Amino acid sequence: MTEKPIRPVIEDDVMNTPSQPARPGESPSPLLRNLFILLGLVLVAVIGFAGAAGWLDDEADPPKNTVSAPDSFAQLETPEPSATTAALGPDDKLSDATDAVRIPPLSPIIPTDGLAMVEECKGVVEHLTTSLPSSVEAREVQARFEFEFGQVDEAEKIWKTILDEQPNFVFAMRGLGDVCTMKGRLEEAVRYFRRAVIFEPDNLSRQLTLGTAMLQAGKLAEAREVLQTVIEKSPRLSAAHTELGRVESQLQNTETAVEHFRTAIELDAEDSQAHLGLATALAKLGKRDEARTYQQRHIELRSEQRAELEEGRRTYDDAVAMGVDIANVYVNSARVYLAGGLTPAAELLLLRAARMSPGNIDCRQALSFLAGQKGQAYEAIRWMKEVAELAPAEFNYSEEVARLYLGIGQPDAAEKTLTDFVERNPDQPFALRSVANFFLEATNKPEKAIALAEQATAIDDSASGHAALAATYEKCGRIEDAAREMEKAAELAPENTVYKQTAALLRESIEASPEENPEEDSQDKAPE
Amino acid sequence: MTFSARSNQPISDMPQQVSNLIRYRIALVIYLACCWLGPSASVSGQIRFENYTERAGIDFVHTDGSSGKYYLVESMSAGVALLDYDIDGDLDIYFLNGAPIDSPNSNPATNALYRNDGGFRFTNVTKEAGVDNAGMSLGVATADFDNDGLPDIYVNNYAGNCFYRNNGDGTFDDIAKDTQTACSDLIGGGVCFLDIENDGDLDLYVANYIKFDLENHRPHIHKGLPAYPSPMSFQPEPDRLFRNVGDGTFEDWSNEAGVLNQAGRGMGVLAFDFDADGDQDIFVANDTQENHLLVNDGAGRFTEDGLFAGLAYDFRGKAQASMGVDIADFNGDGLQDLVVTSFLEEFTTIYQNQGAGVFEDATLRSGTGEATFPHVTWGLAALDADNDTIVDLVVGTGDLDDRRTSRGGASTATGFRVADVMLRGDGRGRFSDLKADWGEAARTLQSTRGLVAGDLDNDGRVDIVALGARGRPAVLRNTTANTNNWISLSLVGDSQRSAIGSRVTAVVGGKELTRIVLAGRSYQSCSSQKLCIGVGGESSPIDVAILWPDGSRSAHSIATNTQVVVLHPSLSPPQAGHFDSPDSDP
Repeated sequence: MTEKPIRPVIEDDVMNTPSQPARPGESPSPLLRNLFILLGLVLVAVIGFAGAAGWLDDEADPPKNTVSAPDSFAQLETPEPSATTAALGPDDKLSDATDAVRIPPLSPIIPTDGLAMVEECKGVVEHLTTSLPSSVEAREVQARFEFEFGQVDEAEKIWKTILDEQPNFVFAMRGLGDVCTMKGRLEEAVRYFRRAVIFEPDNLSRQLTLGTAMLQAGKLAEAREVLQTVIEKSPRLSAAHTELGRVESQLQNTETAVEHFRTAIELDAEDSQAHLGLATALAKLGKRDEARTYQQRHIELRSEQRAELEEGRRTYDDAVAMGVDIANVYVNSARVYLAGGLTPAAELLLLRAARMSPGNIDCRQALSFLAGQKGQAYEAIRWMKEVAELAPAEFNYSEEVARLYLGIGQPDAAEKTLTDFVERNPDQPFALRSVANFFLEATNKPEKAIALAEQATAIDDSASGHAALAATYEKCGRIEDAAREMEKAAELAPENTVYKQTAALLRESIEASPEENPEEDSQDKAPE
Repeated sequence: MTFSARSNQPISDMPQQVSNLIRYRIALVIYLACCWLGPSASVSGQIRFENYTERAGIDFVHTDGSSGKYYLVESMSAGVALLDYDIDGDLDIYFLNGAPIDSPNSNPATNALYRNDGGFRFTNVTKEAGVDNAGMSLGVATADFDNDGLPDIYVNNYAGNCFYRNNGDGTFDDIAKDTQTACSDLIGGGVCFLDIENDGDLDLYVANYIKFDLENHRPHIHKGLPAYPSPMSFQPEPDRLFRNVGDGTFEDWSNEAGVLNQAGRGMGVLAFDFDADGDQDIFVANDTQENHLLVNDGAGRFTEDGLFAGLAYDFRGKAQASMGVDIADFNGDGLQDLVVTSFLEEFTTIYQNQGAGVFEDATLRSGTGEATFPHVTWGLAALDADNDTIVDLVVGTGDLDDRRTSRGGASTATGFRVADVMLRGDGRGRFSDLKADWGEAARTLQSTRGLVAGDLDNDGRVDIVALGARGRPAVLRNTTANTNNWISLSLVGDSQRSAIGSRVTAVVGGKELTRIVLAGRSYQSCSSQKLCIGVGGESSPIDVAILWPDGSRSAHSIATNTQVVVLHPSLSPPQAGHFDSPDSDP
């Protein structure tokens, strides 16, 4: 399998330390996504149609807590408005006074200008902190709101208060790091970022941020140490090599800098910064001809990036951009409401976020989860389909849609979802194998399964790829082919004794029953 | 003050030159008498600048012609120049002004020329001088382009530049159209004079900013409030280079020079021999894209080599929103380093000269980071504020976003009107931020754009003039009190009278202090070509070596605390150890 270079996620990504408080702050989307994925998995497990076992059911019964299957696919496209959807409408009537108190103050019509959006969002954040006065996550949302849309000084004050109360609250540390950077207090920023990394030792993105902050603050030796740690943990992180190259350049270790820039380019041939760094460092070493080559490539890459950037500037629409940003605040707020047991408030905000930000995956994933929880399977499918459309190259979303279809007894729709995906993305071996498994286990179509598995191995000519194809052959009863593929796997990975042993077992099996019908033979073989 | 009628004789006419020089000398002698009549010191040993704008009689008010439509060009505002237009030995001030660009203005604001009357008093002589251009002025440079001993003024405007030839009688004529240097359809930036092929005639480099007209302006909203669009919303405009033919006319040399191949959003420009090969190269500080270094082949043809020279980007590989530029030897290695101002959350970047035309971003080692990082930084000046022989740095600041405090996510670390930053050098390339501790200047809040330094009161201490966008300028008088000494030199070249590009090296206690004669620097501004060099406690005459633009060399010994006019060797009899002083005739 081709491993794509990992690009750093400077803003936010998965929080790895379970002991840390949840992150409802500036860019909490990945965390929220993980939370919802986790909750979704639990739900899926409860209703009994998740995982491989689910695929094995030829005709999965609709879960008891879902609504009846629709009569046609078209029915899925136009689901009945749910109570939740109605809650957003201009004619909405709140059920009682208690709900009224619990619902954040959203205007009936979504504001179309940035100031009004900010004003509405401010009301929501105030409602959040008032409704959940003891929630530190609520104040984190408030601080991040102030940082982005209010007063940075106020954000600083809130984060400092949070840290006074909870010295380990890592998001406040990061928030304060951002504030200090903005205000030019670069050394103080380093102190906060460093403190945050202590609590997230395995979060490479955070460490990269720390390394960059140290570089900016002129703490070169420390930056080098941090970036070397990042590279030790993730040697294929090209951005870390580029940043370390810069640090080494500043430390006058030009040869070492060249090595890191070269590595970065090997990992990501389109890293314009690495090309620039390498060109500059080579020029410094007097290797001007070679430097010119990298300079030229840098100019090409840079002009492409600049063209994109300039186009983005020209087409910038504040209302759209604000909608996206405010939607993130609403998703973060929704997460805190959910944690506080205020589900209607959360749902309302998620719906608003979905309307304000047509590209927001987190809110749609969450809405899908909440709909499923309420037994509204079609709505769950609808939201998840939107997610899959937004990320058409992400297999797990399409896979989730297929699972939901299976859950309501629509294997054909599930199959269509998956086959559409692999047609769109014929170069994803993992997806091809997963869909092959689907054909084997959910719809019993071995020919299709084999075709996809072979397609996957044609792309991924690795030992594990051949082993996976062998497993598919074996499940389909083509033991000879299975043995051949497993032998290839063993040849490609001679250190892997399992491949070797499995290949031997398959050969033994063939020799033991050479006359048997392969189809019958397959019935007795357990899948790998 | 009287002026002789403008001579009709050829510009190479020596008697006319000498006549001007004599008048210059006489004026200098008069002013030397006033040398020590400066204001009394406040705190001994501390760098101190006091705001003398009111007391100096400067009533100029800048407008950027704000229409409420947030045209990007309004945010650029303007530069400022120091020149001795009346050759009386003191520096006068020329402020650029803005104008509405989308409607006729019945009561237009104009650029303004303030004559220095001595005693730190100025008089507005704009009208009588005829330099009252009412366009949207952006950049300015001054030098004696026609070698008649009188400084001329070129103003780079929004659509239609001015080229004011000094008539020598206190008036100027606009010759932009006659010389075909008006650039009527271009949006200007910085400008500088330089001699591109060392033929003794000053040529003209005119930076341009973006391709813009009212039709392609698109109102920009940011966080719900009107805002200036990013420069990246507009295509960059190539600069122009006008070659001085030598007969008072210019030809557009842009294409031949290779300048049209390099489209940049040009702001500050500075000409200097970056690669030490004997000709003038050009650095262009570009907004939101890589800076350009145009390397001269000696014949006025240029190749862009900013990246290899290490000047295109900052140390992070970031193309900064570069604004202003200056040069000085910050670390005392005898090489001129470069400093470039930039945008919010970018550094005022120090590019350390490694020799042979290669520079390295030394910002992290310089300590300029934290002081400048939160600000938009514009005009700047490398100056020895306390005459201790060490170059300090003053950096003009001020957000271009006048609604930032109303806009969400605003930091109080900066603002539209803030105090400029004074960084004290240590002579080894490091600076410390004086913060609020450099006198009244540190409490002067404005939105600085153009900024220049020069000795306005001839007391040997370099003063500062900062043009504030949409408001009053700050004329900051240097009141630093110490016993440090100084010398001041004005160079008179041979075929090129302004001696632009000359390198002056004073040797003080074994240490070489080098200054370059420039005509265009900072943010679209132009400081005086008179060089002030602080010599610390040294009281004996200072040995000075001059490398003239034509390659000639001369050596001088100059008494401390004097101002001298130094003539090119061809204009005065060569003498070993010869030095000029105000008391000696040319």
